[in-house]
Amino acid sequence: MVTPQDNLLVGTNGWVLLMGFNKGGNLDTKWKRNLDSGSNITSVVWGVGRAYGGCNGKFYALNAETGEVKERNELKDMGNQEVRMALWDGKLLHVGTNGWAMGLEVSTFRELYKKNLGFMAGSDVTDVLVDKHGLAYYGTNGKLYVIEGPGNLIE
Amino acid sequence: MGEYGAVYGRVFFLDATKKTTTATAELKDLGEHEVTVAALG
Repeated sequence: MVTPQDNLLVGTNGWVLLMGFNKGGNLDTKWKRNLDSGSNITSVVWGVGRAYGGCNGKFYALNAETGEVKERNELKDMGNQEVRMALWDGKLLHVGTNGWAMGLEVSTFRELYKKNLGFMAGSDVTDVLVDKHGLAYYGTNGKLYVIEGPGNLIE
Repeated sequence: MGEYGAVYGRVFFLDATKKTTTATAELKDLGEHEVTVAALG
């Protein structure tokens, strides 16, 4: 089984790669997948049995063993910019892009929330991280927002 | 124990105890672009 402890996810220029050490102690590419979303900065996040990759306003769930695309989300109406992601507890994937914040239930890929932070901050690279309590922190255009649970904007 | 690093088209593994780069991989055919990495450890 592919585990994050033994492997490294790499994103670059519209590609996602899984790399790991061979017996000689060098890094080998185990698989690589073109996301079919154009060429640009490509973000990657580990999931449970999944590797997530985002590029140019789209993101994908890949089989971590094979790199096969299992799910795709085009982040409709959210532009075609860099995509940042953060996974909480293996269950909820927070996605930031172009001044937007979105949360997805991992098991179903169902959208749990979608908020346009750009109304307040403008559109720009939108980074996200999540703490151990499940609070998602979004930063864009010099402002920080906190989203709780299913999508309550609390700051 | 160590850390991964990445820079335009290349990935590195730095051994924390030896304080040196112990592995380097060139991302062949993918160009020299910004590289992001994700690992746990």
